Amino acid sequence: MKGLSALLFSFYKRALLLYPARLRQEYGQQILQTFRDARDDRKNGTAGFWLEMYKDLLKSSCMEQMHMLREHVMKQPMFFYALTLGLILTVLGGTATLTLQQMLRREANQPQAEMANFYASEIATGAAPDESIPPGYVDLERNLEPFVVFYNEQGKPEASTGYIDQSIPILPPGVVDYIRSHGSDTFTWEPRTAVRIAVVAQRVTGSHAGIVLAGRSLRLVQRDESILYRIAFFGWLILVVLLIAGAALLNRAQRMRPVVT
Amino acid sequence: MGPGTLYGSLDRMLGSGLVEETGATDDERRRYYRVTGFGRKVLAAEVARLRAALATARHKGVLEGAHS
Repeated sequence: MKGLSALLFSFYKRALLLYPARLRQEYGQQILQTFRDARDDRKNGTAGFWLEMYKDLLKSSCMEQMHMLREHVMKQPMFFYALTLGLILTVLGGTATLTLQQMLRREANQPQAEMANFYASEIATGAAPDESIPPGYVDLERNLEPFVVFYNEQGKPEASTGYIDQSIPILPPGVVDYIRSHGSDTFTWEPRTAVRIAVVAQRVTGSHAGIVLAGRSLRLVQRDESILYRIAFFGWLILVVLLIAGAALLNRAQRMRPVVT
Repeated sequence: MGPGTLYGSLDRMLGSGLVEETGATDDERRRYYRVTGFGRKVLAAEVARLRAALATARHKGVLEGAHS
């Protein structure tokens, strides 16, 4: 029992860390001394005593932290308002940036959506893929123009205007299966590291069953995204500096204001 | 009142000038405090406020039927 009591006391001593540092430094030893006195004079049973002490520790440490926070806020209210305003503006700015980024990315799916739809309809009505898809050569690494590829049911390319290293890029089997079962898909494809393509793919049924894939390099969109992120970051940085400077100036002005009694 | 609650309240009372340290000590781990003149005035005002509240409650019959 003595061992348990010593353990609980040692834990209580460590738990004083829950109090604000100033209060702990000022009254830590006195709190422990009062605790020892209360332990020696206790009227209620051992379990009741420890329960009361720990309940008091948790309740009073929360209250003291709240008091300390209120004191800080009262001392420098402008910094508190600036922090709140900064947080609100950061959330709003972050949301606006993400919305713009999503709009940029969605725009990157045009004209592929129309292209995939057009060639899928043509092939579905009986046109041969190599006749329907016009001749052309778009290097996926260098060119920004849209391209179109037709894959058969097994995922093997049969006609294409898009090439990478003079070969038609092969779709991963998982993607082929997904489009086959879901009918269509819109996604970002990276057939090679740093080569990112905005793709719209559509399943074709009929005599020439397969998949029509229309794609376009995301290089311009990535450049626009990069500009957007830079503007957002520097805008945020300027906002933080302005808020801190504004709060400091207002705090100073408030301190220097004569008190009228 | 537990030790944590006690010293938090004591700290605020010291800050408000309601109590002060006596400086007397018989053990370096113990510090003694006393109520200041201002503390006595505040205490008297608080007692008067509570008495007035109690008198109002009695006058309005709020306490009728209450068991102590």
